[in-house]
Amino acid sequence: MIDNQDLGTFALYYALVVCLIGTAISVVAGRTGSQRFVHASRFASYTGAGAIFVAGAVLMHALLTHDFSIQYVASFSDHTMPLFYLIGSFWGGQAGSLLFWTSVVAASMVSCVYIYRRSYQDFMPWVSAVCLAVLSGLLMILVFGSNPFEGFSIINDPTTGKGLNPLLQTPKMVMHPPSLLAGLATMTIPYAFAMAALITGNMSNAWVKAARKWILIPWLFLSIGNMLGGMWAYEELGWGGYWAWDPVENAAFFPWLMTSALIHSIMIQERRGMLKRWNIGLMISSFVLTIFGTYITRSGLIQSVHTFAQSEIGDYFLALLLTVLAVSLTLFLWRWKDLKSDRRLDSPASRESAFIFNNWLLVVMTLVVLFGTMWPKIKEGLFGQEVAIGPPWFNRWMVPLGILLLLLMGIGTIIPWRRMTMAAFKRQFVLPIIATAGASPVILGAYWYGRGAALGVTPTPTEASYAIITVVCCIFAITTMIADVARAMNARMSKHEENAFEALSRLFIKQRRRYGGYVVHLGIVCAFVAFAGNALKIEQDISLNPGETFEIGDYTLTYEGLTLENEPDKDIIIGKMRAERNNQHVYDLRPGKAVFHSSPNMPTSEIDIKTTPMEDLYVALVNHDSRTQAAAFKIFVAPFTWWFWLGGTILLLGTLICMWPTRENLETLRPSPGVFVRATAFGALAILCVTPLAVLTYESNTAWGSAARFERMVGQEESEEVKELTPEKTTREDKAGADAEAS
Amino acid sequence: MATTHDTDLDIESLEETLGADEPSGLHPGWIVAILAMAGFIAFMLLDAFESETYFYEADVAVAQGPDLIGQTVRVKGIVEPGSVVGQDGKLGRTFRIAERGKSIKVHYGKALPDTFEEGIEIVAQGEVDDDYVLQADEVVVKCPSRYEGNAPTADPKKSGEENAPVVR
Repeated sequence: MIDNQDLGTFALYYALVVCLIGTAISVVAGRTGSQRFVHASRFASYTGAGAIFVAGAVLMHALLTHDFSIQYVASFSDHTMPLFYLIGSFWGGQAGSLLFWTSVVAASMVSCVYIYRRSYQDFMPWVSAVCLAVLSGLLMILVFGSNPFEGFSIINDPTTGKGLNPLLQTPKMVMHPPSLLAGLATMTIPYAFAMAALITGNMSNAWVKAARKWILIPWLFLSIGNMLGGMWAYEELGWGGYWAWDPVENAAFFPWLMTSALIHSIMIQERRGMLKRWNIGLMISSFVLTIFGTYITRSGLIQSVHTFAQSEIGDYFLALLLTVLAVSLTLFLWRWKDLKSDRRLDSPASRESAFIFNNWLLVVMTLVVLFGTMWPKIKEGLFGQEVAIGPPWFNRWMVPLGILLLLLMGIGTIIPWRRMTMAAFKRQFVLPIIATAGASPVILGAYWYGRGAALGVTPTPTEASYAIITVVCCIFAITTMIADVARAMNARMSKHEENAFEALSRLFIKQRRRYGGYVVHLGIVCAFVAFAGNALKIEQDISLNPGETFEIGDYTLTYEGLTLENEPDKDIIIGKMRAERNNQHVYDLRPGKAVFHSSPNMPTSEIDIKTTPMEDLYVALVNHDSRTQAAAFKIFVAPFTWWFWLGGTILLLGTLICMWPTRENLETLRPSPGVFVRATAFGALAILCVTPLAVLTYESNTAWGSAARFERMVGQEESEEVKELTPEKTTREDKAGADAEAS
Repeated sequence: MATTHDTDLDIESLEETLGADEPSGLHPGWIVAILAMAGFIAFMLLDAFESETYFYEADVAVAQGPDLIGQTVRVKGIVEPGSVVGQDGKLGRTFRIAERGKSIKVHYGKALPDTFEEGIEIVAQGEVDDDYVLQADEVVVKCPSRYEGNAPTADPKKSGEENAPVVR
């Protein structure tokens, strides 16, 4: 009888053979233009992808049916895990995450081959060839290096699995890895178009036109993935922030930065026929950096707080990286002369120049992050001494570069194409500059005297200057966008006799890339507001006895004692705290500690974060003494952090507006999929984009974000389940602590 | 390198528009770009040299002997079981981190991460005081990713105790 192991392994081998043959067929199709071979290459793409999907389905089936004869299933799931986390364990381990990556490449290849089945006929065989070749490389790693269907010998067959670490059992952590993996995987399609352009020698803007929407897909998924990871880290004790410049975080940030540059520079190529070499170079770099990031994290090359197996997988990725690099660079150099631009830059004061500066900045930012990530290894190689570079170094370089980028964002929005004249300067710039000069002191002053000064924080002069400049640049960027949209609306209203709402909506419909881009910029501005708020962040770790109060900023926190709740799978110790401001009660805080019966030595924090647009009040219960009820807390007040999540959400929605298919795009999908499928797909993406912020807001305003959800309803408080902690009632953690102390 | 006249060489095109035209030889735009890039990299290197912290595994750190005293270092090691000392309900923990049989004492006065426990690998950064105690201002515990570890087997002795199947 065929079991999951045999079927899954067979599917992977079959997919590998099909992809290898398919690559050869696609090359012949590309070289000869034979329609029979073109059909065969398309068929190979569908068949190879189908085999990969079968392998994925088999692994999912094994996870859902608890087939512990497969090592992967036994390592990352157990009988008690709910369905949601069982599905999440598909990508919870190395082999499964690779299979997920491969499946996403296959799915995007199939979509691309189908959508462009009647267009870009000179490119498509080569696009198939590149995708199938990349798939072959990934399948080789799966088959020979990290097979998810590896079984046990009969004697060692376990009866249950290890399960998933309690810390990872949160919805955000289930969605974070697949979003990043999807971002890395979907980068294959635009890269394949760039390679197809180089191979065919078609150096027109055709590849950019074909690939431009496919470039937004990895950017969208990388944005979602990074945001969810940041949100999880923010809500877990010990990370304390949404970004720590860890090598694994940086590995997902390189391709995001490079793709951000590319999204801007392809506009110049489309409009002005310039930057052809630059765009191909950026596309190759983006793709190479996705593999490079995976290599440095999976090979254990770089010290990171993320743990990955230091297995031979790293060597396979190095081989893939070198192959991609060698092939891409050879083709790039071969076509170097043909990639000459059609036009020259007319003036350094033009939108083209602003875009070029923006690109340089983004590339320099990538190089800075790359350097900071790799420097410890380079230093070790050169001098034999390993070193570490901390977040302060990254911040010192990235903050001024980021502010410069923000300023360029404002300038790039309103500066005219080709050349700016004095008349254009007066028309476009004077009003936003006056508005910024007027609004900045008002907004900064209003915040400082209305709220900021009460926090009692004195930032360093550098921090204060950066924060003020950031806010001024944010206001400038917003005023430029408002000025540009208002001008376009006025033009429509007078020309087409439309009202303001009609004019605005038509603008978004007619020029969704441009105005979707503005929405993305608005999201970035919000994120920068959050960065500026960090200058006034207050953080304090404190130990309190019941009844004691503590002041942080202008909050007065009173610790009221502990309670214990018993759940079927865990015990929860809850610290009760009351927050007042100006002698007015503002919050009841319920930070807690959950001790899972399955992992008694690893209590997990239930952090209570009260989030508002103005600031977050964050309280975590660090540890406690059941006898005296003394407890240690981590507390911070973080101004404007909410704006980071809002900015992320706006950015994702803006990207969706840019990606929204045009009427012509939809024609290519006919006869299928239908309206319902398209609406469902985009609806699901839109929901995915707003979910993190919605969950955060809900958690902040209800008991669900803290340990308060474990407290019984009013009226049940006297039930047996609810007990004040007494000397007789100690938790496992306390016992362990007492034992350690005694020893 | 011969001069070309296309706008992909962005520095060059900017120079051209500014009127700095050079018919042959290395274009001034390139020289400016190369110098700017070299200056940038040199500055970044210098800054990196100044900002870096020496990173040691615990045994290598201990092997430095008295040289380590007064230095700010980053040390990686396993938290020795039974070495964690601290009072419940209070901040401040002292513990030893070890690598290959050699260990160093660490004191940390702030909140430890949830993932901190005996027997796991951590990285502590801080200054080593005269008593040879690393006064940490940062303790980082590895993210509990499950991209590691052997699969469980029916025989705990073969797979290691921590990988043994959990029977509930």
